[in-house]
Order: sequence, then C-alpha cells, then structure tokens
Amino acid sequence: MSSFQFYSAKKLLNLIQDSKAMNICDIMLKAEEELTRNNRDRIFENMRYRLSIMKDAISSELSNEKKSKSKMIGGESEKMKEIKNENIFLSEIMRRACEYSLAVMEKNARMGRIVAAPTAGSSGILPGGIIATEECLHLSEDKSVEALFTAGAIGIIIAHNATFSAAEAGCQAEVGASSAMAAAALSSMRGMSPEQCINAAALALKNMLGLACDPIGGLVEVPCVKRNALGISHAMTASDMSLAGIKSVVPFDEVVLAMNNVAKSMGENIRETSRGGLAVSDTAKEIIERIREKRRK
Amino acid sequence: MSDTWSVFDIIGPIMVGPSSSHTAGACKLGIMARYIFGKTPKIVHIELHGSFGDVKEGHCTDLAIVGGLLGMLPSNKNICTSDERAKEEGMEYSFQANNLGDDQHPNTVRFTLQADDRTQVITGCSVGGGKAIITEIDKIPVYLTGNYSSLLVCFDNTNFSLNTLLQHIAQKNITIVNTETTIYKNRTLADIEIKEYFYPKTVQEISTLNGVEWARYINHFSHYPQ
Repeated sequence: MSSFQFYSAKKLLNLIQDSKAMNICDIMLKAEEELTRNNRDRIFENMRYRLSIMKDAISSELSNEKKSKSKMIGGESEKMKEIKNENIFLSEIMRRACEYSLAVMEKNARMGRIVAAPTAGSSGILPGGIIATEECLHLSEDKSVEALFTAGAIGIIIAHNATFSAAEAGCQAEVGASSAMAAAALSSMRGMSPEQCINAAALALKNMLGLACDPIGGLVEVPCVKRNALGISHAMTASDMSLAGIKSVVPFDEVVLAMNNVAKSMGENIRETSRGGLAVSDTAKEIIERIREKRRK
Repeated sequence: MSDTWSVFDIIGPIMVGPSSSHTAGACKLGIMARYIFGKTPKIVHIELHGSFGDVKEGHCTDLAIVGGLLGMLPSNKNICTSDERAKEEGMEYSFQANNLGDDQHPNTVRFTLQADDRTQVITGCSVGGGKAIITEIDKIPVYLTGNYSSLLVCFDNTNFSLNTLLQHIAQKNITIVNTETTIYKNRTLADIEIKEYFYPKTVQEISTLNGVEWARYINHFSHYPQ
C-alpha cells in the first residue's frame, strides 16, 4: 500500500514527484487524510478555522496598548504600525508582518486565545507572515490556508527528527522551527517550487541553531515577543535568498539533525529554566524583584 | 520518536497563552489525570519537576493544571480563573517544586490525587507544542498520549485475565484497535485503544467484574470539531 507519510524533506520531495502532486500542501493534505481518515474538505476547513483565530488575535490586539501584568510588554505592534520614516529599511509587507507577529505575541502574553504554531512562544511568526503576505500580494484566503499546510509539513519533519520543546533544545526548537516553517510557507505563497521552499526553510533554520531560551522571570515576554517579529523578518530574508537562487550547502534534513546535536551541547540554564542568559541579567533581576514585591502587596 | 503527528499537532493546539508546553500541555496533563482518577479530587498534591518547577508562575502552569483537573480544555478562557473555580468546587490543591529524578523529562509533573479514602499517584510530562504523555499510574509504567480513546483497566492477575476482559468487550461489539498491557507485581494495567465511545454503563460493568480494581474510559483530544 502506498503511503503519504513522510519523515524527511527528501521523502516529501519524492512523494511530490511520484504522485505528480502540485506542491507540499497537496502531500500534507493526503498524509492527514490517510492518518485521520477525515476527508480533504473537513481537513481544509479545520485549517481555515485556525487561520480565522489567528486573524482574530491580530485584529483584537492591534491598538491595544495595555501593558502585560509584568509591565514588560504592551504597545509594540502599535508602534510598528505607526512607524513613519522615509528611511525605513523594511518593505511594507515585512513591516506589516512584524506588526502582526507582535500583536499575536502580545495577545498570548495576556493569556488570550492563539494557535500554537508550533508553540505558543513562537505563535506570532506564521500568522504575521502569512496574513501580511495575503493582504499585500492580494491573494485569496485559500492561499493562506494552503501555506499553513506547507508550514505544517516542515514542522512534521522537525517533530519526527528533533523537538519543539525549548526545555529540551532551547529557542532554536521554537522560533527557529517556526521561522523555518514560515520561510517555506511564504515561499509557497508566491509560487516557488517545493525545492525552493525547503531550501528557504534550511537557510532559516541554519541561522537559528543554538538559540538560547532565557526568558525573564519565566514569562513568555522578553525576549520572546520581539523575537517573533525578528523571526518573521528572518524567514522572509531566507525566502528571498532562496528565490535569488542561493542554496543551503547543508540540506534541510541534515540541518534538523544538527539542531538535535546542538541541543545536546546546550546547558540546562538556557533551556527554559530562566537560570541563565538574559534571565539573570541585572535588569532581569530588578524586574523580578519588582514583580515579587507587587505580588506580596 | 515513533509517534504519529497530525498537521494540527503542529498548527495547533488552539489554546490560551502563554506557553504551549507550560500552559496547554500542563492543562492536558491535568485533564488526563482527572480522567484516570475518575472524578474531581478532593485534595491534590502536585509536584513539578525541572523547568516546570522553575517557571511555574510566569507560564500560569499552576492555573492550567488546576483548570485541567477541573475538566477545562486548553482553549478554555476560564483557565485564567481556575483557582476560583477550584474553591467553588471544593478542590484543595498544593504545589511543590521537586526533583523527581535525573532521567525524567524536564517538564514532568506528579499528581497525588485523593477523594473518598482513595489515593492515586499519576506522573506525566509535557513534551512540547502542547503534547502531553502520562508515563506512570501507581508505579505502573504506561504511555498514554490522549491521541486515541482508550479503556484503562487495572486488575489483579491472580484471579482475572486479559482474555476475560477482551471477551467481555467483544460482546459489546466494540472495535479494538490496539491492546497494550503492563504487569507490575500481581497487577496488570491494560490500555485498550478503541474506535468507538464507551458508555459509562459498560465501564461501570467492567469495573465491577471480579478481580478488576478499576476501569476508566479516557476520551481522546480531537483536532476536529465534534
């Protein structure tokens, strides 16, 4: 019996070739149909529902300048929206992606409802990139839903060979994985080939290897919120590089294994314990003291 | 990793923030512990190992676990106020950061649940992206992911057997997908993966069979709207 399950990018590309599928999204849908015995429409609509939650998170959070409980976060997306400078480096699509990523992460920090993609700490990257691209390139909503399946396919390869747990592998497994997924997803939205999509994911993930998870006070706020905006800009750069024909010397599957290997060398202090890195900076100590005092009152 | 991954494990779960492993995964562990215990506990002691213990408050891990124990799903907005709900329902709880052993996953939690003179100890871990696994029930090693519906039956293997149990289930015309058993001393824990729903009456019947200590139906977490 032929199967559409895949555990590597190599297998994914072979499946696309053998089944004459159009793209990564097609194979991902077939694999999900096979795994869950749900029909294609139901699966597609389920993903559309997730996209709608992502859109809600963005629209409800924009212009919300309220600070989070810790006072570390709040109003970032608004600032990114209002930026007016003729010398701005970012293109409109990238600026908007950053604004939206920040909005989702602010929502998350306030215990709002979001879609983990693949985790909550990296939940701003995909919505930011995909929705900004949909708007700026005037694409149909279906294209965004398809992009989420493409992102999911990249995520599944990472899940099978590594992890999304920052406690095991640091932030490379969260923002790193998410930006690789976004690089492929956004590439697919502008019609790049499956090989180019996977190459973009490889370029994005490579540059995130070894990223520490060192949140201040254990909160998903600093550096997580801003790192999502930087993560989506990073994914867009990777996609543009792939579009330009720049190839990752190390193929995607090997980059994922390298991520695992790097994780083994990372100390516990920088794996979501808040015992190292930014979490023990002088500023972090002051903030934690302030939060504790507030709690005692 | 031999697990299967649905695309909605990756683009999902839909959840209340801020952390998939420390909030959504923690909440799932709470729900699974509740399913296994069979009801809302009167008193529950929760030990948090590793990263779980270190960043509990920042990630609302405590509220998420309590919410789960009260039956709330990770997408339930009321998780933020689960401490108040616990008071209303008369569930007492306590948290403690504890080293549960170096071989444990960094996000491990151990529940000691009590009600009606009954105590159960359940251990599980949150493995990232909102996925959670129950690894031990009363010292018996298990591997419950919540991906499938299953019937859990703990029995004394000196006067009951798996065959008797399977025969009983077969009579109800229930399709068994997979059966896993773990034996610890004179007790066996059978994890019977099924396709259909188990009626509470059937579970009740099984739990009263001679030699059966307890039986529970564990509903799976569906990625699809019901």
